[in-house]
Amino acid sequence: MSDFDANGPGGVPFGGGFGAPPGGPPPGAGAAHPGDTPLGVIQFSPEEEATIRQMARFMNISAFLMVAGSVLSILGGLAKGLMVHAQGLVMVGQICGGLFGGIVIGGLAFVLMQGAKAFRDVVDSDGSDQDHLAKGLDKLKIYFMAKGILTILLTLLACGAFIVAIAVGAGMASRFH
Amino acid sequence: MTVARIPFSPAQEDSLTMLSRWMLFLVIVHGLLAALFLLGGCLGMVGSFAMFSRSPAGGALQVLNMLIVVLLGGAAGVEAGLLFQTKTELDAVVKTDDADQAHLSTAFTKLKFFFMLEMVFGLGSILINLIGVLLAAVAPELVGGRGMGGGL
Repeated sequence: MSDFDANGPGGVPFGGGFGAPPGGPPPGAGAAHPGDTPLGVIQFSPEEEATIRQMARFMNISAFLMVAGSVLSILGGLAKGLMVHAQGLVMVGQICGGLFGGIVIGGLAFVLMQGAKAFRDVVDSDGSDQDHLAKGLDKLKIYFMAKGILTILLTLLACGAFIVAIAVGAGMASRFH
Repeated sequence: MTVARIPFSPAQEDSLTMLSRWMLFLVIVHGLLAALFLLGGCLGMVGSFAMFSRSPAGGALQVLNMLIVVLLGGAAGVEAGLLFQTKTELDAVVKTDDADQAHLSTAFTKLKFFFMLEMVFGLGSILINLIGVLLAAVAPELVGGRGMGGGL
């Protein structure tokens, strides 16, 4: 048990060794079990606060670039299609694929921005640091989970397209023989 | 004061564990992506030099495109390393009670660099799209009638 835990209220079963924050009682919001009180104030050092702020800033910028890249990808696909006089079906594919990708990336960017806001709240506000921290980590979980699921889906889609291409190719080849 | 133990609730600890698992999955994905980008970029660059004879400007743009792909491959490799280190720190937060705040701080430092590289990825994706449009304008014969996909 840490020194911090040893400073908790005496005689109260901690249920995992949770203690009170330094300098006063915690706000007591969101307690899951008796004794499991979230820390109102987590004292980060100035360097740690700077790191968290920078991380939140980079999360916001990445989210913005994701959206910008997605919009540019749609417009770029259309422009390229027009320049090389692509077939109508190809253009429709570009638009549909681009819109779907744009919506998905927009959602990911939104989650990332929410996470960045929660992390900024950890250092900019005092009172429910742990709740903000947990919220930020939860948003990160959603972001990485969505990225993982998207990767699985895209891999499956690519494999499916590959199998269909082989099947179509084999069908066409059998007609000629 | 550094908090040795941050009293995450069981639900929050589950969430951290899940985050760590998805990070491990993405470590593998980023590793594979890095290998693919590096291989594809290098092979594509060799092919791009052959395009110089058909269109010097188009060839130059294609070489630039492949150079960006190679750089992004390197970035993906570094991202995989950073994600793995973050995952290790998050595991330590859940499994140990000795220095939660210190582990979290280290995890945030790694994540900061990860998102910095994600920014590079975003910029690379935008650049590849712009080069693709330029390529279609300068040398449509190199692009052909095929759709060029949606970037990275």
